[in-house]
Amino acid sequence: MILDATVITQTLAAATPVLLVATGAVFGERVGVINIGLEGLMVFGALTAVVVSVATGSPFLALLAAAGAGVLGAAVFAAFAIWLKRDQVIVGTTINFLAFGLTGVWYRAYLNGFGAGKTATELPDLIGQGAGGVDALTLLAFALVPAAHYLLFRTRLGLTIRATGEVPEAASAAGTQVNRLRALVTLFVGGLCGLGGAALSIGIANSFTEGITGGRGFVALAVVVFGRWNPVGAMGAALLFAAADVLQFTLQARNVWAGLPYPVFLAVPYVLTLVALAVRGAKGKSPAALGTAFEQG
Amino acid sequence: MPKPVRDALLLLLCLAVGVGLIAALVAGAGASPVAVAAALAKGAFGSRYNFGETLIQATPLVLTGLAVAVSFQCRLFNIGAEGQLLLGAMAAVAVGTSESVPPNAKLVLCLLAGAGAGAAWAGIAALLRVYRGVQEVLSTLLLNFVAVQLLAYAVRAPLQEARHELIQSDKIAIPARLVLLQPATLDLPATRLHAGVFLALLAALFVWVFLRYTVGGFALRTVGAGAGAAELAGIPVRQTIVKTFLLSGALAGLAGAVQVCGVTYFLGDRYSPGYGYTAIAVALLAGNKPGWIIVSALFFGALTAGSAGVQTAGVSQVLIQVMQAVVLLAVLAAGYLREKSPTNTGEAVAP
Repeated sequence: MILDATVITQTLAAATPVLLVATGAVFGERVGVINIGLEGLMVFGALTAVVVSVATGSPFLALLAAAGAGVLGAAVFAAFAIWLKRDQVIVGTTINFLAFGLTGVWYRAYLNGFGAGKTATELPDLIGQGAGGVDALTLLAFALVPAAHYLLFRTRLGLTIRATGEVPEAASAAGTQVNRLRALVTLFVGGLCGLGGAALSIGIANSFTEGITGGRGFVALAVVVFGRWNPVGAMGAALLFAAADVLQFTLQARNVWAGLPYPVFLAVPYVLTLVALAVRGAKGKSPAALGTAFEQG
Repeated sequence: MPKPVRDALLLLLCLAVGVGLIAALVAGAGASPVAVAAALAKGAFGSRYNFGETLIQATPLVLTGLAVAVSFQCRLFNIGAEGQLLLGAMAAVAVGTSESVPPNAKLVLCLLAGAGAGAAWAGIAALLRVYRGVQEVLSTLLLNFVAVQLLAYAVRAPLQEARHELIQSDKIAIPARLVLLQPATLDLPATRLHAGVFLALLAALFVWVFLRYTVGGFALRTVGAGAGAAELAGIPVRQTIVKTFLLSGALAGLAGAVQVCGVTYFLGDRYSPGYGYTAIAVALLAGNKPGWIIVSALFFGALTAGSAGVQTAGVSQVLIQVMQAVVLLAVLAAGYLREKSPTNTGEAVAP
């Protein structure tokens, strides 16, 4: 039997990092900012969480620090993409290089320093335990979805955000400080990416490895498109991705189709994401001003 | 001051600030910036062999840098040169180890197969973009991850070495290999420098001529300057997008084939040290101009080759990635200052 309670909680846990980042990215893209660097911000958060968890023994302080690291990285993005109005895709790519490089330097220093031979304190499960447990970040990620939906579609701030991503000129004429709003949303998204990284490093595992994010930041961006820039839709897509991830892992572990080398299974989530984009791609309509700089008149 | 000179000075100024930041980081990590710089320089230029290594690193960077530049000039974000390179390497190994290919055609067919495979992999992103409206940024990034797994699969099954023990391919046949340029002589030891370096220079020349003097190149740049206007001018935009992707992928695939035929001769599980990603930095530092890409690739090639010596100075090799990022940030900042400067003509520039 492949579907049991453990598979369900594992799917929720696997969806958590992608969902946190995708929920943030929905806001980011709705306000007109496309950030390819979300992957890098996750890596920042993942390592920060481990280091702080080892240093303090408190996984909750670690979460706070991870969110802070994400905000800090996002500030670099905001400075170049929004303040200096450089191309968002290129700045995002640069953020990824910066994150992979800096975390690489930092992680090696940490392994040779006070982190030698220590393991991080894992985020405790609030419901159940072990493989069937659900931790605080998973609860937060799923609780954020209805809140985000309400904020985006039922409040004045949500309307302003959406207007800024569609017709920034009009939002500006109505009194919105377009670039300030975009920068603030970008920082908020960065915080969620930091948490998303922590969900991988002290939520699912209790360690950091290079390449820990495995493209989940990019998958989150695809999840936003597939979910039509809508938090509930993004949740559905994130669950789908997570289910594929858990399924491929379960199939491997249970030696189903044992003749196939394991890379075939590892490719499944990415291929599925591509197929999903291809199926829904043309129908979705991105925010009109996505990725464009705004010159405050 | 003439504009090009001032622009160059601005870029150098921003790069200097970046170098200062990196020096501070190195010092903060407890190493000596001077020692690290010396180790880098020695690793890149310290001997005939080391300089050969620099050229070897620069060769695939010229090709992947051109791949990225071609797509950026058309305002297409092909971030997938890494995956396209891996596909090119796989195709080259498949042809190079095949018994049924005549020996004297092997090298040419290896290189062609590499370019073809890279183009085909990029073609997936092109079709997704043109027919399904999928942003190429996402599709090319995701295809990179698929390519990594495809390679991992290939060296475990269809391309695995004949004894099926190691996770790698067989070596390609000797006629499929690129000539070594500096074999050992009585006085001098051999370097690993191979004829692929000329191939890279030829490719740069080809791309330069193509972009500047052909109808296809003109269409590519016009679509890059604005798809709407290009459409009105009667340029087939979709066709141009697909062709640009194919050219870009072919260049990246060729880089993979050149690595196989010139340097490694076989495939292992983790094949590329990220030439396809560094390519983005190479292209942007060069302003997407083919001539400057040679210079820019040499710079990053020297960094990569030199980084082999950095370990000894107490800082890890990943510092190179930080340097790439800082160089990119410097290029971006210089671009901003250039636009802000009073004599700016306001002409549109490719990303």
